[in-house]
Amino acid sequence: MTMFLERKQDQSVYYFIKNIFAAIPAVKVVDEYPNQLLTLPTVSVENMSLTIRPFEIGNRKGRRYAMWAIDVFATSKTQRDDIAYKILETLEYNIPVYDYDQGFPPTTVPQIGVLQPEDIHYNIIKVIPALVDTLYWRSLINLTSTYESKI
Amino acid sequence: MFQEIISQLDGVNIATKRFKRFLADFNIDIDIDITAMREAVKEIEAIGNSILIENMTKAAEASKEFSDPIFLSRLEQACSAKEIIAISWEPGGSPLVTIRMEDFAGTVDDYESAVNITRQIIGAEGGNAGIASYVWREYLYKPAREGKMIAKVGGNRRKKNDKGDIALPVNQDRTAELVQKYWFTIQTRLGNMSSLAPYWYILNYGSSSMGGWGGTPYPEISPSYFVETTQQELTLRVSEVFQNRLNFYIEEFDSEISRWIDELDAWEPGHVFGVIKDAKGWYQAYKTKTGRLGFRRAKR
Repeated sequence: MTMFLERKQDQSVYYFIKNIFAAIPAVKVVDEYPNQLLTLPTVSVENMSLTIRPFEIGNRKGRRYAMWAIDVFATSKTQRDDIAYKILETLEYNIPVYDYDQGFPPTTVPQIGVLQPEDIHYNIIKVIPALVDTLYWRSLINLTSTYESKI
Repeated sequence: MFQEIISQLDGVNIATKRFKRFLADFNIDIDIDITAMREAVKEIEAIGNSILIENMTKAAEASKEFSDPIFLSRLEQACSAKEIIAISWEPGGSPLVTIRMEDFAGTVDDYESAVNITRQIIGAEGGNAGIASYVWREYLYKPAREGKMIAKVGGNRRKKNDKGDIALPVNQDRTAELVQKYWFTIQTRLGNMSSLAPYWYILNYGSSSMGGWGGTPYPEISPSYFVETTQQELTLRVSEVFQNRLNFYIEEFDSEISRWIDELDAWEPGHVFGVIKDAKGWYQAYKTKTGRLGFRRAKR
């Protein structure tokens, strides 16, 4: 069974973020919200919502706005900001989407399109000291993008 | 669009130069834009709250903890506030939707304060965080919210009952007592919040622990991002309605001008076809003495 295009896009965003920190192994990048065991620093990449809106007149094929949540969990405020700014700096460029049906790792598989960033929002999320045993620092990057096929 | 209208007018029996100048003066593109923007905002404001409530309710149901009416009703009340959704337009012409949760539901600081006050009231300050978390999870939350039964098994100790008889050790069901304690804790928290529903922050952004035994929030709530999701949904809807309204006005204006030109020969000079309004005032479209379409300022 081949992967859905949306799944390939999810994978592409995850690997795109993972590659940003390829040279910094201390930064852990995971493809879901770290509910069970959080180690610091961690960047989690989670797909949030997919909205399809009419795009072309006379055609019911809509434009897809996909949204991702990129959470940064860090040991200090500075570390949180450094990680987040590094992601923000890179996100402004198109994210290549690869055909993972052809195999892994992603750099060796053909590119089928790009995700074009439409909206990028950066928010600081306050962690409540009273509710955690060890304080950490968190921020959230919301990425909304549209897909452009290259095939 | 208006360049297309002007190009179509060439060769037509109309005061073309004046009409071109009129269109330039009239700045009708901007007027139509503003009207379409206002209508889009009005339309989305009318449905924005219900979309926010729908997304919030889905998130609350998924979280289980906040699905109880005691939490949900306060969240609904906050999300129903008319001014909670603010729609504006960025200079480039893109809509900007802001959901002012902190202003209407409260801040995470308020939630933290309510938790700390409650701990003081019920005497749960200090101590081992791990044990406190364990007691909360196993002896309060689970009996109250997950139907767990807690029974204290009688030991060697014998007690006198009301009649002074020695009662044999029995299994005592403590569930009701613990359930009551849980709800007392929740009521105390809610009662000590200075805003309506600051726990929206936990519902939206989730809770996460550092792992290990003990000191963990329970239940762990995955983020729902219902605020961000609603913002995105509303932004797309505003853009869509704006584009639809803009297209409608452009077509309407185009067909109106075309109709006036088509009907020129059928009318005597001086006939007024219609009026158009811009920021400076009203204009009449009329047939000139030479039989062409002209425009002049009009009073209204």
